[in-house]
Amino acid sequence: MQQTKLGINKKLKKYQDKEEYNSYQEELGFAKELNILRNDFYYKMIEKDSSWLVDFLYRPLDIMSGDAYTAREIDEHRTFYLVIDGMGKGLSASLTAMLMSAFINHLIDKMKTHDSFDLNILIRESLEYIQPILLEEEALAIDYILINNYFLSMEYAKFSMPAMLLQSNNNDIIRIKSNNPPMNKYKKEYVTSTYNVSNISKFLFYSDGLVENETCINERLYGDFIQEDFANSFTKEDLREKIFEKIKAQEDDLTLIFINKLPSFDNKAHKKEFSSSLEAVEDASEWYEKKFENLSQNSEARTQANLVFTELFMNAYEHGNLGIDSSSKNLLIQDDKYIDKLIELSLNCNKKIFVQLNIIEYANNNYMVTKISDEGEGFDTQILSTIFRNGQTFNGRGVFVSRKNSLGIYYNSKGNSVLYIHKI
Amino acid sequence: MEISSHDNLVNIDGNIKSISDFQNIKNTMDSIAAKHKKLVVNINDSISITSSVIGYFNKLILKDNIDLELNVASKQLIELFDDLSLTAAFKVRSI
Repeated sequence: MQQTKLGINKKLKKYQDKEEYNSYQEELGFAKELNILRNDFYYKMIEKDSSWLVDFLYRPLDIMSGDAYTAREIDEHRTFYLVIDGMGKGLSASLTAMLMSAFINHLIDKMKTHDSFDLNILIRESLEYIQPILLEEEALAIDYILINNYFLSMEYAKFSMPAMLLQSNNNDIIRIKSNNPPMNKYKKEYVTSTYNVSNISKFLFYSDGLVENETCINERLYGDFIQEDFANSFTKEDLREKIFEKIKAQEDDLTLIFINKLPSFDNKAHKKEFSSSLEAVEDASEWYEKKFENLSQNSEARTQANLVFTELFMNAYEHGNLGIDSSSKNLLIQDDKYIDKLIELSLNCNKKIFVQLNIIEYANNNYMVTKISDEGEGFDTQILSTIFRNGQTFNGRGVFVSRKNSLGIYYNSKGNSVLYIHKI
Repeated sequence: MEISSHDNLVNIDGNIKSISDFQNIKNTMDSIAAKHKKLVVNINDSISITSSVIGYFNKLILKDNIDLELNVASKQLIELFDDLSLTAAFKVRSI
């Protein structure tokens, strides 16, 4: 009896160890996947003549995703987007998507170093790379999209991806279909096309997992609803809410890139500047709360917006204008010297914090857009990807909380100005 | 999904949506393709098609040099083929 019990315990331990090992490997696999996907616009706006909010939804069905995406800043005028959908599900699809994504990003890095980016060369080289790797019956759906903000044009090669959606300034929805069959082992020829985007204010690129997912509305597919939901969405969060209201259960990897032009702030914007002091932090919170109360009766939005304001204003003050980095902050808190340090640094700081509020009306909804700008050195928003992967870290919780409580937060390229949005 | 065939004509009824649907299509069409160089497939109901089936059809056309024609009843599926730039490649026609 004793021996049987020992034997069972041994087996149980073996299974536990194996499960732990598998879980650890899955964690590493997913982390590797996120490293392969390159996103130069992580929580960043594109600011040219207008401000563009660039946002992403990436939700694999399993740990190893058959979808991949990339968003790269090529130069001051050009941005490149890639969406890949490997055929089928599971490891083979994931390997293809990840290999292709890694190769394309490597090529882009090389081209950028030599200031020689060329979309045709990128497509041709990546096709040549992947063809020997593809299986006989394997098809690869992929979008290559290059937007030029100077010439206001979009050059693209779509290989059997769902039609991309564009919204014009007149609110017309334009569908741009694929101009190539899927990549496969055999065909080397392809075409690229160009589209004038001077009149376009919104873009949506996505993989077919989105449109082929069954909804809870008479079992119709989400493709029946995507155009209307896209037209009525101001941010990716808006669209995400609409998607998951309708989808019963996720059936495939979901990937989308949502790009929206922010209307210019008009003269009716509420503006105020604050000094860099603890008193100013209190004053700013009170001012913001009163302003919000006057502009909206939506108490839930008000609570969320106040929370986000407190977090991001504090960031502008302590990290932005006072220049206290996260590790220094942790040490000061541990030594119980943090508040004293804030007061000391504030005495010698003449930098200001600027707050701007605007109401934007969109598709019969009103949105409050708040912008907080400091005069500090800014930061690289890429570090947020590490923070958001691990909600347990102490650093960056303010930004983490802000993201959860808004329809999106977006930094400027320098990282010293942040904008966030609430529906009111 | 149900699949039947007679000579070089294949009939597919019901929705094409699972791995087993793909396997049934492949098994049926592989045996026909061994004897006929032209295949006609009637997709009588399906509003969808999986990427595995797309990949398989591509291979039949480009590697095995099969002359493939698809007759499709669903307008939704026809639009999908058009969106994916497959209408010409698969000789898609409306029935």
